Formats: sequence, C-alpha cells, structure tokens
Amino acid sequence: MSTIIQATGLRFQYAKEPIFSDVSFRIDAGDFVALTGANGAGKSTLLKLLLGELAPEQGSIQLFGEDIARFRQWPKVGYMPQNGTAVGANFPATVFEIVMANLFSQIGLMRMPKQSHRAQAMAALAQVGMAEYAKRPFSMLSGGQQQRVLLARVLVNAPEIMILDEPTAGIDSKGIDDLLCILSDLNRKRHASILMVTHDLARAAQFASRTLCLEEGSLVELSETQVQLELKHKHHHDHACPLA
Amino acid sequence: MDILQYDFMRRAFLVGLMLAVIVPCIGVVVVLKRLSMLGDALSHTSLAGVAAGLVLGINPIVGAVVMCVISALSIEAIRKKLPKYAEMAIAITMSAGVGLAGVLSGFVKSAANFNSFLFGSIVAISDFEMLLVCLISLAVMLAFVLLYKELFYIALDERAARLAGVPVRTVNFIFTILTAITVSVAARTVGALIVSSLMVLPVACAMQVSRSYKQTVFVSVLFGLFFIIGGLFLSYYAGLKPGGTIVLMGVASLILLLLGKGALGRRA
Repeated sequence: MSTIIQATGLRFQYAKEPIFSDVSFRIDAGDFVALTGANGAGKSTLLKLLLGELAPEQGSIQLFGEDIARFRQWPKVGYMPQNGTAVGANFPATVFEIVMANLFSQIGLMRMPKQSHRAQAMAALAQVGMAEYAKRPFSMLSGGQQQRVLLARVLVNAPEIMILDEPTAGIDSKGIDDLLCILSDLNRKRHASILMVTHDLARAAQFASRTLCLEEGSLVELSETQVQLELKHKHHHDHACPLA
Repeated sequence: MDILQYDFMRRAFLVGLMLAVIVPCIGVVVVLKRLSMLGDALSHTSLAGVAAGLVLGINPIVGAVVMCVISALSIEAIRKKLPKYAEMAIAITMSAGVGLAGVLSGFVKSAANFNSFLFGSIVAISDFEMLLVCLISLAVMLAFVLLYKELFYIALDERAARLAGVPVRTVNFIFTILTAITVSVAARTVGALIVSSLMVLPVACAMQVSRSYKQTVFVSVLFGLFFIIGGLFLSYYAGLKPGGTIVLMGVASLILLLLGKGALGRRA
C-alpha cells in the first residue's frame, strides 16, 4: 500500500511555547484516520504543517514520497477548513460556483470552464446528495448542507487524500451522521484516503480505520480497545486521552 | 436630446460608461475581500500623486497612477506582514498619502486645478484623459474577464485557492495594480473624495438582489451604469455637480433597496 503522508520527528512551538515534539505518523492510501485531542493540543497546527503553511522546527514531512518544501502537486490534497462555512456565509455565490472554483488546476489559468468541467462539478455534488441545490445561494443552506457542499468542493478534484478539519463542528446531529456516512462510503467503496480532525471520538470511531490522539505534545495511535476504554473513561471524566 | 449636442457632455458620457463598467468590476472583488476602504485609501493617496504631478510639471493623472500603484503595493505588503489587521494597512497608507498630499499641495501654484481633483471634473475631460480612460478601461475589462475565476476563488477563500493551484500572489499583484490604475483615473473624473463610493455602492445594491457571483458582477455593472448615466442627466438638468450627484443617486438607490427588502421580508 503506498504511503501518502510520512511525518517524522515533528517539533513545533508558538512564541517559544512548545506545541508538540517528536510527532511521527504515517498515512497510507485507503486509510480513514481520525485525529483527536483536547482544544489547543495542536491539531490545527499539525494540519497547517501538512499543508505547508507552517514549517516544523525539527523533523520532516513527505507527501507522496516528496519533501513538502519541494511538493507542488497540491490539487492531489483536498482540504476542508475548520469553520469553512463561515468563509462563504455572506458571500454571494451559488453552490455550483463554489464547487466549480476548485477545478482550477484542470481548467487552467485564464481559461474558461468547458461542459465536461460543469459535469464534473455536478457529479461531485451528486456524490454528497446536493445536486438539486446547485443553483441555490450557498449562504441560504443549513450548516450541514454547507459542509456537504464544501466536501463536494474537495471531491471535485478527485484528490488522493482529503484533510478535513473538524467537518462536523457546528452542525446538527443528523447533519453529522449524513456527513460521516458519505465519508465512510467514499472510504469503503472508492478507497478514498481521509485524515479527519474531530472532537467527536465516539462517532469517528464507528467509521475511522485508525485513531490518532494528540495530547500534551505527543501523538499516539489508539488501538480499538484503547478507543473503547477512552470512550468509557470520557463518559465518566470527560478527559481527552488518558492512555496517551 | 440637447444634453448630447455638447462635445464635453458626449465625452463625459463615454468616459462615464467606461468607468461604470470597470469600477464595479474591481469593486466586487474589493468588497468581497472585505477591503471596502481600499478605494478610499487609494483615491486619497492619488491626491499626493496629483500634487506631485502639478509641482513637477508632469501630467497629474500620470502622477496619480504612479502614487496609487505604490500605495496599493504598500497596502498589500503591510497586509501580508499583519494579516489579521488588514484595515490597519489601509489606514496607515491613507494617512501617509493624505499627509503627503497636504504638504505637496502647499507648493502647487494653481489651487483651483488641485481642487478639481477632489470632486472630479467629468465634464472637463481633455482628449488625452479620454484616451487614457478608454485604454485603461479596455485593459481592466480584459484582465477582469481573463482572471474572472481566479479572482472569484481568491475572494471566496484565499487558502483554498492556493491549494487548488491558483497563483495567488501573482493574481493579487495584478489585481492590486488594476485597482490602483482604475482608482486613479476614476478619481480624476468623479473625484478623489467619492471614487470609493462608486466602487462600493453598485456592489452593495447588487448584493441585495443577486443570488450568485456572476449575477452580482452583472447587476453591479448595471447599477454603475444607472448611477453614472442617471447622475449625469440629473446634474445637467438640475444644475448640480456631477460627481456628487452620481454618488447620491447610488446612496438613494441603496436606501430604497434596503427599505424594499425589509418590507418584503416583513410581509413574507
């Protein structure tokens, strides 16, 4: 199985305050990885390192076997930001326009989209069950529907890995179930590789094939038994990763 | 129509039509990037270029274009250094520009000439200025059409645009130059003090009635045309200053749209 992300010995600090040190992990093609951890544990910072927006102080990141500093094939990486719905909250754009925007690498600089690109955008919307909303203004959708559209925006490029930063935050219970079912389907049927940051360990554990936990500066991989123990423990003490 | 029997009015209409198309096009992106005050800052700093041009004996519009480009690039540079305080970059550059304009205006011999840039002189446009506006307008329209989807994605989500492969830095640089040039030529015609209104008002009106980005762009241009043509007619027949009349038409339209939308919302 080919390796998509290989992080080794990562260390990062903000204003001399260490966030994490010696973080290593690997994500292979077809993995569905849930990344959990308490608020401020550094989950979003870790994603910024993986997206090349921040550079680690120590350690290395390889994407598709290439050092991140030299990596240029970003369309292979689909990214769904935290609070992504806030970005388009008051933006006058339709669902279709938002999904089409991400086809840039296929359409090309200063070129007009073709009919095939439009069909691709519609197909991505159909994958998340939002095709009938294509002409609706994005700002008029519910939180759950907006997240599905943002997932379609990621899918339209057929990325080889999807990095999702708390995609279930701020949406209702049904919206969360719908979104996780879509992700699970994509992983099982289309072998999509997913790295998803989430606070909702209970739900994520039902779908994810692996669970990573970032806590007190270290990253550990939880076994299935550890996840079950953690969920029981969390139920009693509401504490993040006692097994870390 | 007797309004069109005068050569200066025909020029005013031609220049007005050009500006009515390009200023809202730039304005859509500026507004959606939450940089509405950018036009204000650039138009004010263009006054420093006007004053420098008048002092040095070069065409004031050329001075304004140069100063606007420098200011726009400075704003972009400060914005990059302090990304969470974009509005501070605008305030700093505007203060520097107004300060420089104030000092340089003391050396300008013809105060009337300098003052004409404050409120514009759309009905007193020279052949050179008309040619300049036409050429710049065509260049801006072409660039806007070619970079339509790139500008849309950057305005929507700069980070996602970068990941999708959009050359964000280059497109932002080109857009900054386009904005600076548009503001400086528009400042000469409708006035430095009101050019930013022409950038923001058609977009604000369009956003009240549009459902998509494409619609917002088209409707903004339609509102721009309505304000400029309507403003020129009104100013001619009522004996008012054209620049101010154009902007006040925009403000009145926005108020009416907001009231109408509010009334419809209550009824629904």
